[in-house]
Amino acid sequence: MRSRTLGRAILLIGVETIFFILFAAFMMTFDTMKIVLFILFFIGIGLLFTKWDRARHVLTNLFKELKIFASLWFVVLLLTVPFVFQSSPYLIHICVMAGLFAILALGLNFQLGSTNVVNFATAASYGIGAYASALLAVHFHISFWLGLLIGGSLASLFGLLLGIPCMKTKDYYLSLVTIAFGLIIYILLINFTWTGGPNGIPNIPPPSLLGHSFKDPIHLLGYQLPFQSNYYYLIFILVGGSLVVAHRLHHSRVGLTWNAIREDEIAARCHGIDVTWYKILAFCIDAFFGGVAGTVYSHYIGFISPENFAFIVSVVVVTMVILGGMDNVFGVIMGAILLTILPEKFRAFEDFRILIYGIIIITMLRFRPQGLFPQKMRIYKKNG
Amino acid sequence: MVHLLETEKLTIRFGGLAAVNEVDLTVDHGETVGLIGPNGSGKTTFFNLLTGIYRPTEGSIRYAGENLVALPTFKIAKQGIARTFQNNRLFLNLSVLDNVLIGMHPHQDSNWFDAIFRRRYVEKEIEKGVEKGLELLSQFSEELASHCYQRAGDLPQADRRKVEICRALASNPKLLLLDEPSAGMSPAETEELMEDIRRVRQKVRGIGIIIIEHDMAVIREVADRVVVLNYGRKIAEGTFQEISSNELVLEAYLGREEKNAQA
Amino acid sequence: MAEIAQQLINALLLGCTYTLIAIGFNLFFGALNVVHFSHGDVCILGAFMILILYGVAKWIGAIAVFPPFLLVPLMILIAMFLTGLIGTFFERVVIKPFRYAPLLMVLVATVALGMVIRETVRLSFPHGSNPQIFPRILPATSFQWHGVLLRLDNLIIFGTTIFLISLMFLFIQKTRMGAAIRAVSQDTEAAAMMGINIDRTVAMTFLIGSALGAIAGILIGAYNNIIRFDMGLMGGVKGFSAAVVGGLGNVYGAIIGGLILGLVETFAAAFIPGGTPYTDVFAFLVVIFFLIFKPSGILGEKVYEKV
Repeated sequence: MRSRTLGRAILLIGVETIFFILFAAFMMTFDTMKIVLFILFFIGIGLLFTKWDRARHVLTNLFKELKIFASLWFVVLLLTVPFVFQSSPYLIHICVMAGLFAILALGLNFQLGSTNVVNFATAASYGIGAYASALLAVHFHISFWLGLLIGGSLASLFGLLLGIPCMKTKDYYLSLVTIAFGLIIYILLINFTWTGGPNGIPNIPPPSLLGHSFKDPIHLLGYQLPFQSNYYYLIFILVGGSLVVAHRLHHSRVGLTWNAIREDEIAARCHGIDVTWYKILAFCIDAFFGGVAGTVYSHYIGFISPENFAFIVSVVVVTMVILGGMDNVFGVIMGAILLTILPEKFRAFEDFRILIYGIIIITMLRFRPQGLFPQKMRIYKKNG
Repeated sequence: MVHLLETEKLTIRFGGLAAVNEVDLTVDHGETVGLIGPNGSGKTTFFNLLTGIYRPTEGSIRYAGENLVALPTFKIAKQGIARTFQNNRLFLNLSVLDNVLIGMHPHQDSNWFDAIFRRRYVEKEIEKGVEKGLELLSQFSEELASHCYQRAGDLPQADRRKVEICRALASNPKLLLLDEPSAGMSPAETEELMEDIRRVRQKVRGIGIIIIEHDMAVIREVADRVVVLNYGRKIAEGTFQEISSNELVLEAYLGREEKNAQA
Repeated sequence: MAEIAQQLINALLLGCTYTLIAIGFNLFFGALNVVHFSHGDVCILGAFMILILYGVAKWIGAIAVFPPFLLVPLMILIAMFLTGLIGTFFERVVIKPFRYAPLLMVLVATVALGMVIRETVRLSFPHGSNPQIFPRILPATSFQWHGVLLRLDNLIIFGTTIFLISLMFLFIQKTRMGAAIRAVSQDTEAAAMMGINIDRTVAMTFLIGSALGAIAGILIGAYNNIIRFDMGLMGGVKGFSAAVVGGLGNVYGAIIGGLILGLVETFAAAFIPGGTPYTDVFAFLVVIFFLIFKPSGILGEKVYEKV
């Protein structure tokens, strides 16, 4: 029995490690031809899994049985990323950005995925968090860590404000409100002088932890990791935290209630659900996530301007949620990672990026509205 | 004695049309009232008034002595009024069990903070809910209980009704509103439905039920008292026997011509 | 006094633009219960059509041969027709497949469509990210009248708008097709049962709405003397806002809503010190105010949810 478990553990480690190596190799490929081959290979594996039931069952059971072990090994692998990409900070940068968008997408998922509230103001909460913490840091020398909390809370407050119209309106009207809100924030950021107008805010100080500035490289086990690694680990923790929060909310009365509102608002009301409050709650939590992501972004890049928070950013996050799979926490993160990494890999087609996003949304909605990774039914533990 | 539910001159007008017009109706604890009437006579609108989806133009609704008019729908539901819908409104993309769990919303209390930070509390709540939900489902059909993770939208019509009734009962209602539960059911399934309703009355002591039905067999079997609506007005009230011989009711259902022909 | 009159004229012009866009939103919403979020971008396509047609006319030498009062109306008509066709095409390809899907889908799909349109325009014009000079298709003469400066092109714009809107109302009120459009917007199923060809009626609605929108796009171009690929986003949001203020689904509401937005923006820019950069903010605040306190708009009817 014991040896069997050991064997399975080794198999698990093998599978995860192979995938990790493939991922790393993919990231380090810059030749368009090879990238395409890699992608076709990944698609092939994906298709194989959907068709080959036996292999899928074996693997899913493996992951289910050794769930904790599997996630632990996965975490270990992810922690080695800065070591693997030690000599190319650009790749670590991509991973940081993927993490930031994963947080944004997880936040939006509470609304778009769980509750069916279309919010096109993600960029606004992202921007509010970024500007609030940046202004506090530049003018009042407030530390990044406090700024993280303030940025998130302030964005959340705006989320509450934005949520108020949903007492009276929904569907199209509510989307109009969110679009208008996003545009208002953008216009204000451009025109206010105290936000630096169109020039934005330069020289935002990097965070520091226990005397170690995030602008400095990490020296660890004889390795020197580029300064982006600081942010990689920070983002790693934040995405992990967001993931736990999202997962817990999904598997609770709150998540279930959101789903009820998504499925049928009137029936939900008739079962004692305060639809308005739960929608506002989704707005607030989403905005908090956005604010946190914005804070990290502003301190990471060190410079922000209104362009970073334009309408298009909101649509990109919407695309991530739809592509990944609405209401599926894992899928949403995958959507964010895919849509951050792929454009970087196809820099030659940079100009077509947004056009392709648009086409992806329409095609996905038309032919696979449940996304690449559809949500599964909640399964509850059997009693005893 | 205070009635469980008492409406007085309940009226709603859409534009010039009074869809429900000065309807007085009472339901007592443990009583099942049948609500019948031709299509468009205002039966479902009456339910929508009781559940606060529409706000009445005039009249009052008293539930256990308290005024319900102008309360939002969710608060009314929390007071113990549960309903099913004419075209049943299950949460189609959720599992059968999740549907029933949502029914328990009014008397669960974990919030977002608990969900994130007090995991043990939430898990206990879910565990209790699952246990109760499965018990409820298995009372109606073992089949449903053992396939409780099926997508509700994949169920056949008769099973959907059952799940909807389970969902309504999950909130421990004191008043249950059933809107045409037998619609789209075969005679055998209707038979089963009547059995189910009887069982509900036995199990849940003191529950009041209003049932809208077109199938008179169901009404005859389960209703203690019948109220007939026509053009939004209450035109008759009494036992099934009294109603079935009432001239006004026959006229409402069969039309005026027949009477003219006799005259 | 002259100052206020001058601003009123500006407001009227701006209101015309918003009205033309809003009519589209209302027509589509009436026909399909759909908000076509990329309608603003379709409208701007009208302006780009003029840009192309002007280029073509120049290239084949038509500009030198034909007088402008013949050529310009012809170009505008072609632009309207082509934009109308494009609008109909989008309805078929992007909106129709979602007819029975949850509302969220068509909403997000049309927003994405807007993105596709904008990017396509940007990529197909040389230096597409920059503003394009809009050809001077209208005479630039102006004259004074009681201290108010009147520009001939503005008068033409205003006249054309009123003429076209009246024409549309006549069409909807007097013709068979118009009756079909009204029937479909009242109750699609009932209309289908009465033998009305729903697909054709809906297509007609999109043809009219998009063609009128093209005029709005041309107005924006003529007014600013430039057009840019992304002007449709703001135009669409404003047009939709005007439709909501007037009462979504009510074609007459579009006029009221458009004028209100035009007034708010013009007067905010003229009479609030330092208000010019914030005109859009004021407009949106008005819309949000309406959504909270009168969601059905000025002319809209209260809708009862079907249970």
